[in-house]
Amino acid sequence: MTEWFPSEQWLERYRENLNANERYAADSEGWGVDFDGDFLFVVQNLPLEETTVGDLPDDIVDPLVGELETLDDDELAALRASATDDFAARLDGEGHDTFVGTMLATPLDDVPAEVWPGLRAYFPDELDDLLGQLEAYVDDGTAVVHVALEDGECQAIDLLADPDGVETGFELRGRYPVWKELIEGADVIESVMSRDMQFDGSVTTVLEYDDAAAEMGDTAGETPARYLF
Amino acid sequence: MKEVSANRAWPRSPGMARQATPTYRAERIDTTSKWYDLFQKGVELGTWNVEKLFDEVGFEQDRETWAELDDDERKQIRFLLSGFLDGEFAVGEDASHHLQRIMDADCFDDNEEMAMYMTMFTLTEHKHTQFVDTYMHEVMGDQDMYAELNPNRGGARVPVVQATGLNEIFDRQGMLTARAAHSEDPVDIARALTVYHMTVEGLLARAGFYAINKLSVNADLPLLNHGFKFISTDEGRHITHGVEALTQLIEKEEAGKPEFQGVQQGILDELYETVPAVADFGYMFTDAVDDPLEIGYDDLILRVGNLIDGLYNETLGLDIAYRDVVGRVQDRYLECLEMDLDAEIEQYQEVYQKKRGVAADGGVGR
Amino acid sequence: MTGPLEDLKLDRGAEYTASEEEVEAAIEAAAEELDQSVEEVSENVAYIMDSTFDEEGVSTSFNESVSGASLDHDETGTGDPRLEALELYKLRQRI
Repeated sequence: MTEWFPSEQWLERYRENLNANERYAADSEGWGVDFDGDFLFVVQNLPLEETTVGDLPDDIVDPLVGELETLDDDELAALRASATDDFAARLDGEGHDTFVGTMLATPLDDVPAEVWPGLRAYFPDELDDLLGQLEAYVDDGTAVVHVALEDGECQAIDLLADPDGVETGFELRGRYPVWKELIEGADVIESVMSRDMQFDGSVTTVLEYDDAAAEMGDTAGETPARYLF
Repeated sequence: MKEVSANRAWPRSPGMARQATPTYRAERIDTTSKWYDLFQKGVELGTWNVEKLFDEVGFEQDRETWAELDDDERKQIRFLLSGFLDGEFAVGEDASHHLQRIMDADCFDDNEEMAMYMTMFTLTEHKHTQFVDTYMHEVMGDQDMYAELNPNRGGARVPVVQATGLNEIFDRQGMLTARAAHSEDPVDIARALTVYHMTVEGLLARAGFYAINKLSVNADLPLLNHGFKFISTDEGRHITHGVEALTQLIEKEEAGKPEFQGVQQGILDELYETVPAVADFGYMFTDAVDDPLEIGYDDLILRVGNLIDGLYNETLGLDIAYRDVVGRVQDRYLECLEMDLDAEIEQYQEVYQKKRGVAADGGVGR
Repeated sequence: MTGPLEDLKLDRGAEYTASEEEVEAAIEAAAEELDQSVEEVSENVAYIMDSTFDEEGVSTSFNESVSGASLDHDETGTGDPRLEALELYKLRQRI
C-alpha cells in the first residue's frame, strides 16, 4: 500500500525499508557509536495556507464530498446551525453545493479553527487522521522529524509535536519542495552546497559515511509515496 | 575524464561590456570594456598604501593580543599566515611573469584592456605580499623564513606549507601559467586561469579570509582584520577578472571555434585535480593545531562547498559532480589527519638547514 | 535608497543587518566628509561589495571578507556588508 506523503505512516514505512536495506546497514556501521548520530529533519514552508481541503487528492476528499452531498435537509440545517462563526461567514448561500464548496475551500491551516466537531464527525478516518497529524506536528508551516540512527540501524523516526529544545548531533533544514526533490533522487550534498538546504553538524563525519547517506536517499526514493501536496 | 554537461546552469549574455555610458572615450582603448573598469577601479581603490595602513591602524593592539596568546594559538595564526605568505609570493611571481603574457594571447578579445588591468593586478598581488610579510615580522617577531634560499621565489617555501602538501598547488600554478604563456593555447590558458583564479584565489584565499574573519571572535587583531579586508577587496576584482576571462573562452568554445574545444573539460579537470588543496590549507590552520581559536574545519568546508557551487555552477554555468569534488577534499583531509605534521615540518627544516650549509660554503659538502 | 546600492542583492553573501536609512545616512555623512557626491560614494561602495557589474543586481559576492558570508562571523567590523564596504572606502581614502 502506498502511503501518503508527508505522514507518520510514510515515515514508518521508510524506517522499515531502511532497516531492511543491507547496504545501508553495512555502510553505516559505527555511525553514532562515539557521538550523537541522531538527525533532525526540519521541513519548512509546508503549503498549508495555500492548499485547501479541496486541493487534496481525490481519493481522500471524494468520500467526504459523498457524505456531505447525501445529507438530508434536516441534517444539513442542523450542521449549518452549529457552524463556527468563521465558517458561517464564508457560507454564501443555501443548499448542499454551497456547503460542500465552502468546506472544500477551507485552507488546511484554518481547519482546526473553522471546522467544528459536528462537521468533523463526517470526515472519513483517513482524512481525519491526516488533518490530525497536520494539526499536531506542523507549526507555522514547519514540521520537525527526529531520526534516531546508530550503528547500522534506524531505531526510530518520529514527528515531534514539541521540537523546542530538542538537540541532536545533526540537523538538515529545507523547504518542503526541496525535501520532495530529495525523495525523488536529488543529491543531498548538492542541496547543501547550493544552499537549497542548511546543515548543522560535522560535515566531515557525514562525508565519512557518504555511502550510507546515499543509501538513505535511495531508500526514500524506493518507498512509494502519494503526495498530499 | 569527467563528462561535461551541455546543460548550462545559467545563460549569460554574450560579451560582458558594461552597458552604462563611459565617462571618457579614448582612441585605442575601449573604455566600455569591463577590463577598463577593473583597471580604473584598481587605480581608484586598489592603490591603498600598506605603510600608511600600518601607521593609521597601528601595530599596538595586534602586538598586545599576540603577546597574550598561547603558543598553540600563535602557531595556528602563524600557519594560516604562512599559507598566505607563500601563496601571495607565488601568485605575485606568476602574475608578473606569466599572466601578463597570457593576456596578450590572440584568443582574447580585449587584449589591450586586459593587459592594462594586469598591471594593477600584479601591483596588488605584490602589495598583499608586502602586507603579510611585514605584518608577520612586525607583530609575530623574528622568524627564520629561510629567506636567502631560492631567492627567485622570495625564499624557500615555509616548512609547514611544504609539509602539508599545499606547496603542490603553487607548483602546479607555476607550471600551468608558464605553459599557457608559452603556448597561448586556449585550453592551456583555461587550465592555468582555473588553478590561479578559481582554486587559489576563488577557494583557497577565500577560505583563508573566512578564517581571518572568524579569528576575530577569539583574537582581537584589528590591523590583520583591516589589512585582509583590503586584500579581500582586491581579490574580489581578481576573481571577477578570472571569471570573465574564462567566460570568454567558454563562449567561444560553445560558438564552435575549433581551437577552443576542450576548454570546459579543462576547467573541470583542473577543479577535480586541485580542489584537494582546500583540505591541505584548511587542515593546516585548524585540526593540525587542534584549532584553539575555534575556526572550525567543518564550517570552513561548508562555506567552501558553497563557494564552489557559486563559482562553477552559478557563475561559469558548468555542471560539476558534487560528490566527486567533495569526496576528493574529504579523502585528502583524512590523509592529512594521518600525518605527523610536526615531524614533517622538522624534516623540511633540516633539509633547509643543510642547504644553507651548502650555500654558505660555496657548494662543498660538510 | 537610490543609486547603485538600491537593487544590489548579495547571493551567498553576508546578511544585510543595518536598515536602509542607516546606510543612507552613513553614505551621506561619508560623502560630506570626503567632499564627494553621494552618487560617487555609493558607486564605490557597491563596487567594493561586488565588482562584477551584473545587470540583474545579484552578485555571488567575490569579496569574501567584506560582503561574503564570512562577514557574519566578523567581530571587528560593522556587521553589514554595505557599511563595511563604506568603512573600507573611507579608510582607503585616508591612506
